[in-house]
Amino acid sequence: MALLELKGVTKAYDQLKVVDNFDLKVHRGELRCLLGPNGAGKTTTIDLITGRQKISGGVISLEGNVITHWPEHMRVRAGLSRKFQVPAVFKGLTVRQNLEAAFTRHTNPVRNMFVFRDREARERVEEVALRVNLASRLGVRADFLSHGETQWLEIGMVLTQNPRILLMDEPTAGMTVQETHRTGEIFNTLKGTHTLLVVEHDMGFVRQIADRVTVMHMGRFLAEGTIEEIERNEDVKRVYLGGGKHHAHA
Amino acid sequence: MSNPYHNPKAQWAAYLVFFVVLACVPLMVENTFTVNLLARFLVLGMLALSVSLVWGYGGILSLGQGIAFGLAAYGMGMTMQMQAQDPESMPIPSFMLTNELTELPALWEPFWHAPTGIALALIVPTLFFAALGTIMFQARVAGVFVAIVTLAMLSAWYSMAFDMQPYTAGFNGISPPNPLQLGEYSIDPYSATAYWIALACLTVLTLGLKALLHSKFGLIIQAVREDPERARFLGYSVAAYQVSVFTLSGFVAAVAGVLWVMIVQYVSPTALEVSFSVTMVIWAAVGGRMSLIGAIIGAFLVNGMQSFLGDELLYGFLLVLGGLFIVIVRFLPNGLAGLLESVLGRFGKRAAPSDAGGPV
Ligand SMILES: Nc1ncnc2c1ncn2[C@@H]1O[C@H](COP(=O)(O)OP(=O)(O)OP(=O)(O)O)[C@@H](O)[C@H]1O
Ligand SMILES: [Mg+2]
Repeated sequence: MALLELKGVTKAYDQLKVVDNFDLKVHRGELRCLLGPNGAGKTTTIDLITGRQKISGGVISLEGNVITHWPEHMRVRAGLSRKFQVPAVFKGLTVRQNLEAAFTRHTNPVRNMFVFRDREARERVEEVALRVNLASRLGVRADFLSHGETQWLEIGMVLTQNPRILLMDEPTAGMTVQETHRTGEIFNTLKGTHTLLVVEHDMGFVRQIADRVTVMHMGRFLAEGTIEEIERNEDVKRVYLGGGKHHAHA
Repeated sequence: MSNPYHNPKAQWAAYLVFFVVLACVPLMVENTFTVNLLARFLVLGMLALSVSLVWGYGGILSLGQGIAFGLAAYGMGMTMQMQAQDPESMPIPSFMLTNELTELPALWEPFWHAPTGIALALIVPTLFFAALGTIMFQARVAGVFVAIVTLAMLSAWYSMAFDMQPYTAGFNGISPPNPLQLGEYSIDPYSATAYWIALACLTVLTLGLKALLHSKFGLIIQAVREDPERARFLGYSVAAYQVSVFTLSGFVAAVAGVLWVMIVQYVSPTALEVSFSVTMVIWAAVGGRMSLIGAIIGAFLVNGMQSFLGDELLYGFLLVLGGLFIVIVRFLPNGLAGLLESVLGRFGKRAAPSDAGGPV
């Protein structure tokens, strides 16, 4: 059974279908890349999976549970966690506080009124901070971080959650080449133990990390396979060459 | 951790000194009118505390804190009024007689029993905040719309207090003839005892909230303030956190309402006036909405200045206050507390970057 399964997922604005009858299966322990030119519907797909946007049709299931219409926070509790395309962190809080907030063993407000100095949280925060290169920045307010560090912080928040599946929308956007490579290393350490669905434009990065790649175009499924298969695929070539304004660095 | 402003031990020490100094004030002040005036300031400080919690930490700009204050004040007014009535000889307050009521309205019945009356004065506004909060935050009302909804609610309660003359004495308000009677003790509003009762409540609430802000709950309400959507996608029910913090702030304002009537022995629709609730927000902004103690000090300073200048200068003062608010919002987003933070930051600057962002 797939960990995450999308069947016939559709999102329509009036007549315009931005995600159109899209199928996807992500298996446990897999790192899947979701590729596609600008406006292909990748972010919308992530939004539908996480409940940020209302779905127009189709079924989404996580570990066999149909979560198509669950409220956002319930899906997260069921094991989804996402990183946004535009990095979203708590800017007025420190790196440590951001990561602590992402440690979500308890989510009930009344319960959390009695949680002080959680040792387990502290250890997890420090472990994750090491992983995402922020161990020396724990005391810094998030609005003082560089763009790359902000991306790492949000990746770190997703890791702190220890979800069943990590949904990463363009995790390397705005990063330097070195930062991107470092991020690839982080992702490679997650392989096998974690399940990831990564939206990405940077082909170098995709080559560095991907097991399998799914390509979508104009909301529809276009191709799926290993990175080599995808790079040879005629349909994909046509879309990328015809599309013009993609960011793919070959 | 270079800035002492962010050092938790230094913070608790500052809080302790603050409340000890306040506790000593009646020992140094002879004039009972002054003691009474200072006791009023304590209550106004409590209102600023509730604003700091809901707006500074929760990011919810409520202009309706006066609802909880006013409802609680009426509850206390009714309690104290009924302490002066007698079931046999004088079962209903005289203002009702002049309004042609011949029987005590059912609404007033529970207030025969003072503990019940005081409990209701605290519980009803708190529940009202819980209900209003649930309706607003489930529907994801946010930002300026919260200000509008709370303001509209406040005006509705004001009109009700004003118009239901037979039940509330309308414009005149309720003035209980005697001070609050607690068992055998009578709490003279002009006594140091009344001041100390108010201070004890302020201390307990402030320290309790400060501890709460250091809990995981305190962290998450700040996270919700910074970015509700991010918090939601970490698995938190944003509405549940907002309702909790809004309800707590309502409770704090309700305690203030009860104490206020104990200290002034009077309640009228002015407690529910829009301008009153708006000035509470200004006090907190002046002192620093992201600092509990800062907000309280803001209330002391503004009200101290106001009573020092006296009534003749009042309108001029309100203009100055409005101007001050604009200046602060523009240049000192965290008020005087923020100023202190940057001054203290200068001292310990050479060391590593400060561990900022904690509740103060
Ligand atoms: N509210 C809306 N109304 C109509 N169309 C919309 C709306 N929001 C998004 N779209 C369209 O949906 C399509 C898919 O957008 P989406 O953000 O999912 O693309 P993407 O694959 O993530 O692109 P990018 O690589 O630029 O991030 C785009 O063509 C976009 O213009
Ligand atoms: Mg996108």
